[in-house]
Amino acid sequence: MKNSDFSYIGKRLPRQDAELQLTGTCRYGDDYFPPNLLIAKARYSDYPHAKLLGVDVSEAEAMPGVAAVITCRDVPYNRFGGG
Amino acid sequence: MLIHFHVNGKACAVDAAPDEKLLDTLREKLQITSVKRGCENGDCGACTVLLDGRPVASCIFLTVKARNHSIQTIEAFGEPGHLHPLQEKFRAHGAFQCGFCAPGVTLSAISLLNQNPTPTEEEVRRAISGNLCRCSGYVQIVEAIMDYVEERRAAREEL
Amino acid sequence: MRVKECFCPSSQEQALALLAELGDALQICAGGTDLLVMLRKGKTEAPFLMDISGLDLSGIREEEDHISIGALATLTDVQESPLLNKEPYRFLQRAAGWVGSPQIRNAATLAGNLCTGIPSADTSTPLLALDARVRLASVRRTREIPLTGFFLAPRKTALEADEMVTEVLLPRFPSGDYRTEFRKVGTRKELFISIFHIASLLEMEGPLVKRARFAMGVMAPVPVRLFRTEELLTGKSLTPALIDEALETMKTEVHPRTSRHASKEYRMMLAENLLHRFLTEPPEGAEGGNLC
Repeated sequence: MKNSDFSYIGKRLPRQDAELQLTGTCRYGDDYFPPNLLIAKARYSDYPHAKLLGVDVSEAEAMPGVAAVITCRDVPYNRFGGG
Repeated sequence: MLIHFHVNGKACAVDAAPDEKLLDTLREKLQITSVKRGCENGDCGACTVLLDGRPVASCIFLTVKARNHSIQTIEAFGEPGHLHPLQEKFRAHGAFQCGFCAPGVTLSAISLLNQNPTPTEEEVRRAISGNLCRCSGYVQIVEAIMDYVEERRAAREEL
Repeated sequence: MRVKECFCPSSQEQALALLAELGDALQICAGGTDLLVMLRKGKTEAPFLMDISGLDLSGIREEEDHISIGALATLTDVQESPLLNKEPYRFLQRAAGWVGSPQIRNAATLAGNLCTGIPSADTSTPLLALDARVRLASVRRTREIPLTGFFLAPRKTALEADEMVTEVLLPRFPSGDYRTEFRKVGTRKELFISIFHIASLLEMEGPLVKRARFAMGVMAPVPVRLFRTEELLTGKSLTPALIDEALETMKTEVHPRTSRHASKEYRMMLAENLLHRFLTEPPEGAEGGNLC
């Protein structure tokens, strides 16, 4: 078969989303603002390999604008990690 | 505080916090998402806008400072179905891959070409050196700009 | 702590009155390219900001006995100024062009680069080599100090709590046989912070050195002039033996430290090699640039 038999192989094709990219109209993850959008941020321990004695989220939960503070205790079934 | 400025030729008034960044104002209050949130540190150029025709990093630019100035984002230069000739060149050369850096790069290039219609390749590279692209290696970007410069030069010579 | 208010004075008097009233609680914002990064990182806690972009401080002017660079002159303004596009000022334009990126240079001011008080501030070394002075204003007084007295410690300048920089002043140099060079070393060609920089100036009178000025950055807690090295060379011919002596003298005037970006041995090697290169290369050879 020759290249002329193909629709795409050997042909110069326009990039489908070029116009959207160039004009800034295509939207990336950060460009969506659905209603009631919550923003999650992970908080890790400041101390690697330290022994975790406890987690107290009460102060964070009380901060204005905080909808929820989720820790491993809130995960119903955790196959990984200890207990 | 109420800040008055022009965005893409239109007068705007925005209520901004004293430490609000222009990036956040443009994206969240004016819904201009073509201005991208990249490093938020002034290091990547994805947030580039033109302030009185010159590129600045909007992520480290206080909205307060924009008062009485003219801001341009990529929307000022082209839209789907009606691209700026430089954008046509970017398309023809396959300059961008993920496209995240495209608006910023294009604004930096347009600003250069407005000041210097016949830059050398070195000058083009310097002009877009504040816009980082993780995909392309900059090769086709620079080729597209030089192609545009050459085409404009030839067109002027014909006149 | 969030910023409570940002003042936008439209006159020098208003600005100075705010500084007098609020002192350290007030952070000055000119271009804001350093300030906003510090704010984001929580490295500065001042509850009030003052945007000075409304003040009339943007010009670069030639006066009778000095060139005045206003506090709001951006690094791009410095790069493009025809008044500075002649010897011995060109290395200042070069240095300005090595700060950040075009986006940063269009907003950042020369004065602001100095007010960060960091040894990696690229414009500090050519300004030191040019014997620049800074004009500081407050409600109490206006004073001028040499730039050599401006840097006290990393991120600490001689600015008092109620003062602001209004101008950077460069002496007018008589026409002469000048050779200047600025070199910056870092990890790439743009958008990088210096791990070392050097500004060098020689004025020759025939084979003899009429005037020598050297300044180095990131070789001490603040940018430094190499006074003893300069004195050693003045009035003499640049023989290989003298150049070797100059390098040894230079080593006594700097004390680089090891940071995560470079070791002190590496920095000392850079200082030696680049000063040597400046003193031995023919004038056409040195364009000034970065080295990786």
